[in-house]
Amino acid sequence: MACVSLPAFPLQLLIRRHPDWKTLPAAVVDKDTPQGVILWVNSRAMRYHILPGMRYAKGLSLSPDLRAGVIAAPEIKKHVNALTERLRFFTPDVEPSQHAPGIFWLCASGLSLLYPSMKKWAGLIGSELARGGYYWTVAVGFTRYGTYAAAQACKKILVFDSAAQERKHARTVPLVRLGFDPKLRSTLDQLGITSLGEFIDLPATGIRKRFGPEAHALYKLAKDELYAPIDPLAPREPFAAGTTLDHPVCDVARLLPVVEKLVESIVASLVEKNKTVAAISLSLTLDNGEKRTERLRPASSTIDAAQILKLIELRLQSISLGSGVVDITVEAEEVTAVPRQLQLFSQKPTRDLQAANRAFARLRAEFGEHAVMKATLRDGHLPEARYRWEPMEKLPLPSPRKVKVRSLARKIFSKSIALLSWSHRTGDGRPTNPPQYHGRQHHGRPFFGIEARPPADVSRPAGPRAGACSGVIGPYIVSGGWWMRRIHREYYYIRSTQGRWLWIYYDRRRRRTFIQGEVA
Amino acid sequence: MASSRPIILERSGAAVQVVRQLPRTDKEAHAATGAARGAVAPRVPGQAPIAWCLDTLLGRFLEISTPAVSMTAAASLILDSQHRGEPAAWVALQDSTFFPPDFAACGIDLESLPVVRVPHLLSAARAGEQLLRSGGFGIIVLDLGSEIDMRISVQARLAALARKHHTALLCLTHKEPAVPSLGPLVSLRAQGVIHKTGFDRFTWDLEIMRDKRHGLGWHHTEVYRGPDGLC
Repeated sequence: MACVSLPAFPLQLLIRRHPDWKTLPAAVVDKDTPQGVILWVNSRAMRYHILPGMRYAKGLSLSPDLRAGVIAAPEIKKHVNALTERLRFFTPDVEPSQHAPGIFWLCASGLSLLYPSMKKWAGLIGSELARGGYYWTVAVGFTRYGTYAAAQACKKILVFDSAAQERKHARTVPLVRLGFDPKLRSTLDQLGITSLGEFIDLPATGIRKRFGPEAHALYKLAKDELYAPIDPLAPREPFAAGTTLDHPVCDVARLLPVVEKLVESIVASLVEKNKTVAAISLSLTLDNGEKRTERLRPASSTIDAAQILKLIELRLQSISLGSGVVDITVEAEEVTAVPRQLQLFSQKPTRDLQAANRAFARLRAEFGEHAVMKATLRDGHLPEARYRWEPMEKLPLPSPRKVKVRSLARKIFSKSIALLSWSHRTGDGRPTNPPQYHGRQHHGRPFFGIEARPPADVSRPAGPRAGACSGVIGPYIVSGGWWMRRIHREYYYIRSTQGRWLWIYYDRRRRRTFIQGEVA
Repeated sequence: MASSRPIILERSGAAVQVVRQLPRTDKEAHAATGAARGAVAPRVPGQAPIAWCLDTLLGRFLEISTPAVSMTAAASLILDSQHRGEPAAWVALQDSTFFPPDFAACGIDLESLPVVRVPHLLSAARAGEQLLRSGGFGIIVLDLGSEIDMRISVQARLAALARKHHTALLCLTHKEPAVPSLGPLVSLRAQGVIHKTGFDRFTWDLEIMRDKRHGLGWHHTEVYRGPDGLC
């Protein structure tokens, strides 16, 4: 048995995402807000006494250079699955840890004919992980916990020749390396117990009562009393079919019959195993050697080959096939089929929501995975921080609220448009920028006309030309972000003589005025 | 909405202005909040008064051609559609969109308002067509901005699909009043303006420039409060 350890796995993923943070203090937080809790820190952050369990704001006060990010559980799972596939190259049985991401147990039996030694085998595993940009350690031994403890404490590779050697080494591993609960570790530290050997030397009776059931389970695991063989993750059987064409084909109409046969064969094999298609990957090899992969998702998992073929047709029509396709492979991501659920008659909508969901799938096939979005509100001070766009998978029944008084709606530009110039004359005729007001509304002289700076990219539309102004309301100040990047904006509403209300702000940091949007 | 009560007619120039007599409590509440809705009845007595609501506009190809009230008028229809249990959809070009917190403040359920972001007018028409064909929406809004060059064949397809599936298709465009509408198939074209009529009260007025079903001469007025900061 071998244990492969990628220490602080979420932190390693964060650094892979931001390679420039390697030389800075970095941390993984549970949410990207000042109140977010730090979960993992690197050694540079530890030098500033930034520790897991602290708030992000406190970490920033200790080191203003601290960089932090969120690594969500689905992303960790995705990388764990990818690493499991890579490690399967070295042994068929790989078990990723369910509790500690970045820990893998590998079956090392029966490999003597393939590899000259276990050390060589471990070295090859390490090289493969290093190529992926990971920091790793590997311990080859005889027991689950023994190899785990050794992997946490060793530098790179450690191979035990006997079980006794492994036990002897495990006893010397410090508890701080083993991921014990901090409270338990602190209690044991007060008792002078700092190594695994001292912990397992404790009398068995009383462990559960004194330290709790988790400590008792760890104790039994460390003493190898809870034998658990490797429970490998079953390799995913791909449902794929492919074909090589005799001649390069550019015409979508000629490709579709070929793709249709592949899709039908995949759907037939899925139906036999009581599975349905959740997504389709279409891999095309072009005549000039270029490879393209397109992923499509139907509105819901389906075995309707015609629906899948329609999505593939829409996607093929929206991409350029260049020099012609010479090889096609279709692979399905499957889910287990569930029986159709009965719909409550009282909730039957007046419109067909399934048809709307199928329309979404066609839009995603034609315009990309992020074509259909919904707005989700967030807490934020800046207007653009008060919402974000998230993909909409399925259309729910609407449940609007009743409000007593409705408010006017505004339009917001995706990117604020810089104003060329605007100014206001004060009582003595001098122009000021930004404008000075007495009171909240100005009833004085008219402003110069507002003209937005045309964008550098001429394909983008220019900002609004609203004509001369006849009224201004404001400013109201939005200021904050002192913990990351100070922001100070003064918002105004400008009424033009054409009856439009422009929503603008003066950015003190950039010393420029921008159009945020318009009251429409 | 007010319960049914005798309708008081007031003649005002060429148009007949209809004001529903509200029950006392509703009237007082409306007076306190400043929210009032007004519709203009057609010249034919006995016909229901027309208002800017989904009942009047289902199955039609509509255009609002000024930016001044486009978002607010569209939000009003989307809310109406959602209250009827019919989903709404929004197709926007990449450079701008509605401000979601304002739609939420009006009561719109953002979780069931899909927004399709597309790069240009042709893609917007394609997206609108896909959504119309599904028949799954009560109203679809195409926010086209200043892109107003839609081919007549595309308009014909969209208008036919809107009619077939009894869906309101609302195009929001930016153009001067003198510029013609998107095309001859537009069933109703409106333009509007917002006036400040109180400390925190704004009246948005929609003037109907073309209505193939009910004829000209009607407009729609509502009183709303201003968004944050505009009072």
